[in-house]
Amino acid sequence: MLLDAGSLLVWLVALPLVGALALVVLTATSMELGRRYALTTALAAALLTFGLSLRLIARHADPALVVNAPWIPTLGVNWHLAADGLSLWLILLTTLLTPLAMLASAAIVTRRPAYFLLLLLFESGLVGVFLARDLVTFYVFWEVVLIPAYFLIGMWGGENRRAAVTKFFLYTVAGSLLMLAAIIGLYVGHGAATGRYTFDVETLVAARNVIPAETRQWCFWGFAAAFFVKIPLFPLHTWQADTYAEAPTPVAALLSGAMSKMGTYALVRFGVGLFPDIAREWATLMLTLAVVSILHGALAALAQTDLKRLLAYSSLSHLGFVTLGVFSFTTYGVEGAMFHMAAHGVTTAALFLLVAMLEARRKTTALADFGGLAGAMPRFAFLMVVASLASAGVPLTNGFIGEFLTLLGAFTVAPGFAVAAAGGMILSAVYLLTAARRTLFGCSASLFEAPDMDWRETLAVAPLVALMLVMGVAPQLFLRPTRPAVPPEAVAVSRS
Amino acid sequence: MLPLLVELPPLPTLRDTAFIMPEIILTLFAGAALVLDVALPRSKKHLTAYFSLIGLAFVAIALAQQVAMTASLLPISAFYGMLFIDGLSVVFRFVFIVAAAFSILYSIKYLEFEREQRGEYYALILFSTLGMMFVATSGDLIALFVSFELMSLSVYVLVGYFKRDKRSNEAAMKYFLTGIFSSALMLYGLSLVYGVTGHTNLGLISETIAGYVQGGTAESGDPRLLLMVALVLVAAGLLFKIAAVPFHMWAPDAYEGAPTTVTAFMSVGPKAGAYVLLARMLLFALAPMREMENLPGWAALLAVVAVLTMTVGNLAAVTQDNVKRLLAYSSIAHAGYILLGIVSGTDMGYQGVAFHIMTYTLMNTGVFAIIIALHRQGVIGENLNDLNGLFSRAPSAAVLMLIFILGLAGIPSTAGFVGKFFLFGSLIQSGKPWLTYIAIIAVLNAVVAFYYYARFARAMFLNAPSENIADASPLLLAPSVRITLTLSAIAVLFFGIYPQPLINVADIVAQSITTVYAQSSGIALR
Repeated sequence: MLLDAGSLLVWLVALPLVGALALVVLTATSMELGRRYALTTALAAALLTFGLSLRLIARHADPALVVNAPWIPTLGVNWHLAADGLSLWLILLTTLLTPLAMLASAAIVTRRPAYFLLLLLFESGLVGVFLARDLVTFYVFWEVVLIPAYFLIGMWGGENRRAAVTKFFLYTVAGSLLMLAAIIGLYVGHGAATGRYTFDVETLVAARNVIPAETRQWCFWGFAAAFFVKIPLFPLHTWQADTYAEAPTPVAALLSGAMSKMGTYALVRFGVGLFPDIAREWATLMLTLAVVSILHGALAALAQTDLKRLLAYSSLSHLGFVTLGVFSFTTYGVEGAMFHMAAHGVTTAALFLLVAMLEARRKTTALADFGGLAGAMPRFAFLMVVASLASAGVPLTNGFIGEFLTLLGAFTVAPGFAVAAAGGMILSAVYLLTAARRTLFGCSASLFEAPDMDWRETLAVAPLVALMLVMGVAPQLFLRPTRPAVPPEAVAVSRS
Repeated sequence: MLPLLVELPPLPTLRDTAFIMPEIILTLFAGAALVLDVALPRSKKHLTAYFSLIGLAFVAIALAQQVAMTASLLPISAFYGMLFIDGLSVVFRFVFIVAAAFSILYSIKYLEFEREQRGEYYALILFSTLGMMFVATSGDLIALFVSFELMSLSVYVLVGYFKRDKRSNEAAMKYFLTGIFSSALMLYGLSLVYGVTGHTNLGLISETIAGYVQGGTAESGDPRLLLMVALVLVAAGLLFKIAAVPFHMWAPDAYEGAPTTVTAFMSVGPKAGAYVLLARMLLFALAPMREMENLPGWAALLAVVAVLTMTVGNLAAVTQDNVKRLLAYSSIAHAGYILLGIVSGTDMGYQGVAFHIMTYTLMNTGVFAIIIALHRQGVIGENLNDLNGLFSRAPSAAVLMLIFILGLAGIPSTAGFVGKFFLFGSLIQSGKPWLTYIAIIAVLNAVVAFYYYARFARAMFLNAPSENIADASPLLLAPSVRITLTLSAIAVLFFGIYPQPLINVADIVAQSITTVYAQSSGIALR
C-alpha cells in the first residue's frame, strides 16, 4: 500500500517534511552536510513529482491519484489530496525550483542547517496547497507556507528585513483569516441547506446553488482577499516589493516563482470554481484591477534602481496577465493563465537566481553598481539575456505564449482591457532590456572583474533557461495536459 | 432533648466515599507536604516538590477509576446531591492535575534559585488544586462557593509568596482585595438565587427557574427581575476570576508581580476552575435564563463581555514590553475567545471551550516555563528584549517557545488553531446573524493577536542577542523540564495535525453539558 498512486501524493507532501525532521535530529551537523542532505531530499521530491507528472500527462484525470481519508470526522474534515492538470505544472515547478534555489544558496552562511530545513518545510506546504481538495486541508497548508517564509526572510534577509517581514506577515494573515471565515461560512451554509457538513471542494462545487446567495457573496470576498494578497493584485501589493527585495535572493526566487502561484492557482480552482456566477458578475472590476496591476507594475519597474525591486514589480505586472486571463472567462484566457503561471515561475525564478549570483559576488543588487559584465562573465550574460527576453515575452519563449493567450482571451470579451494590457507588454520589454543592458554591457567593463558562473551555478539556472525555450517552441506539450482540467465553470466563452 | 422531627436520610455510604477518593488522596498529600516541610533540612526542601508530584500521580490514578463511570453520560450524584460526577468533572479534574503538576515541576529550580524553597508553596498549589477539583464536582451552591474560595485563597497567598519582594506583596494585596470583593458580590448573588428558588441544589434551582422563565406563577410579582439582579452579581464574580473586561484590571498587575511560576499556575489552573464554575452556573443552574422573553438573557450579556474582553485584551497586549504583562493581556483575550463558545450554545462551541482550555494549559505553561528558565538574578528575563537572539543562545528552547507561541496565536497545524476553529466556527454554525458578526470581530482580533505573538518570534529569531545580557550561563532547564516541554510541544503539534482524539475528549464535556444540562433536571436528591 505504501506505493500505490494515492500514497504517492502523500509522499510528495511528506518527503520534504521527513527530510526537515531529519535535519532537526541532525542539528549538530555542519552547514555543508545539511546542505547536501537537504538537496538530496529536494531532488528525490523532484524525481517523485516527475514520475507523477509522466503519469498525469499520459492520463489527464487519473482517478487513482486521490487520497481521501477522514481527518477530523466530528467536523467532516477530510484529508483529501488529488492531482490533475491544474496542479500538475505547479507541483513540478515547486519541486524543481526548490533544489535549484538550494544550489544557488552558496552565499547564505549560517551556523545551523535551519535555512535548508525551512526551505524543505516551505516546499512541503506549497505542494500541499497545490494538491489539497478539502478546504480545511487547503487552509492548513496555505498557512503553513507562511511560517518558513517568515523565518527565511526574517533571519537571512537584508537590512530592513524585520519591517518587511512584519508587513508581509500581517497582510497575508489578514487575508487568510478572512478566507477562513469564508470557508466556515460555506461549510455552514452548505450544511444547513443539505444537512451534510463537509469541507470537500467537489461536493461544495457541485452543490453551490443550495447555499444562500448572500452567504456566497461575502464568502467570495473572503476568498478573494486571501488570493489577491498572495498574488498580489493592485491595491493589495504594497508588501511585495519590500518583501522580495529584503528576502535572501534564492528565497525571493521561490516567493515569486512558486508562492505567488498559490494565489492565482487558488483563484482558478476555488475562487472561480466555487463562485463562477459571482466572479463573472464582478469580472469588469477584476479585469480593471488586473490591468492596473500590469501597468502599475511595469511603470514602477521602469523607475527602480535595484534589480530585486525591479523583478518584484515585474512579477506584479506578469501576474496581472494571469488574473486577466482568468477573469476573461474564455478557454484561451484560462489556459493561457495556467500556462503563464508556470512560465512566469520558471522565468522569474531564473532571473532571481541570476541576481543571487551577482549578489554573491558584489554584495549589492543596485543597478548602478554593475556594468560591462558580459566581458567577464559570458556564460552569465547569455543566460541573463535569454531569461530577460523570455520575461519580456519575445516570440519563441514561454513568456510570449502565456501573454499572447491571456491577451487573446481578454480581447474576445473586453478589447479595451486587452489593448491596455498589451501596453504593459511593451513596457516590460523596455525595463527588462534596459536592466540587462545596464548590467551586462555599457562602458565600465573594467570596473568589474568577477569569475564566471561555476558548474553549480550553471546547473541552477541552465535547466530553467532550457525550459523557457522548450515551453516557447512546443507549448502544446504543456497546454494539452492542462486543458481537460480547466474547470467548466471557468469558461463562459469557449473556443468556437 | 428534642425529639427528631424530621426523618434523617441514611448516612452517606461507602459508595459515596469512593467518588471523592481522588480528593481524599489529594488532601492527605497536601497536608503531608506541610508536615514534610518541617521535617526536612533546608538543603532537602525540594523533595517536597517530588512528594507532591507523586501525590498528584496517585490522584490521577484514583481519578482514572471514574472514567468508566461517565460512559453513560448521566451524572452520578453523591452525598445527597452535594457532589455529582459527570464527564465535565472528570475531564477537567485531569486538566487541573496536569496544570498543577507542570507548575510544580517548573517551580523547583526557580525557587531554589530565589532561595525561597519551602514546602508550603507546594502544599498551597495542592490545596488550590483541591479547591478546583471540588468546584468541578460540586452540585450545590454552598459546596461550589466553599471550594471556589479554597482555590482562590490559596492563590492569593501564592501571589504574595515572595515575602521580601515588594512587587509580589503589592500584587497579592491588590489581587486579594479585589478578589474578595468579587467573591462577596457573587455570594450575595447566590443568596438571592437561593431566596428566589428556595434551593441550593443546582438541578433544583435550574428546574425552578425554568418554571419561572416559562411563565410559571409566583405569589408576588415577576421573580425574573430579582433573578436578573442575582445573575448580574454572580456573573460579576465569575467574570472577575477569568479576568474578563471590565473586571480585568487586576490581571496584569497580579501576573507581573507574582513569582513567575505562580503566574504560570494562575493562568491555567484557577482560570480553568473559574471556567468550570461559570459553566456550572450559567449552563446548568441558570441555564433557563440564556434567553428570556422581554428581558435580556445572559447570552446577550456574555456576548457583549466576550467581544469587549478579546478586543481590549488584544489591543492592550500590542503595546506591552513586559512579557508577563503581555501574556496577562493575551490570557484576557483568550478568555474572550472561550466565552464565545459558551455564548454560541452549540455542541461545537462547548467542544471548542473544552478543547481550547486543554490545549491552552499546555501552551501557556510551556511559554512560562521558558520565561522561568531565562530568569537570572539581576536580569529578570521578563522583558521582551531579554528574548533577543534566544535562537542563537539556546536553539532548542527557542524552538519550543516558538511552537507554544504559534499555538497561542492559533496558526494552523497547531492545537491552538483547532480550538479557535471550533470556537469561531460555532458562532457561524449557530445560524444567528448577530453571532456571525461577532465571529468576524473575533477573526479581526486574531489578526491583532498575530502581531504581538510575532514579536516573540521576531525577538527570538530575528533580533541579535542584546549586549547587556552578558551571561552565557545555561538556561535553568532541568532534564525533566526539558522532556516535559518537548512532550508538550509535540502534543501541541500532534493535536494540531490530528486533533480527533482530543476532540473526542472535548466531546465528552460537550455531551455532558448538552444532554444533561439541557434537560435541567434529574440531578435532584436521590
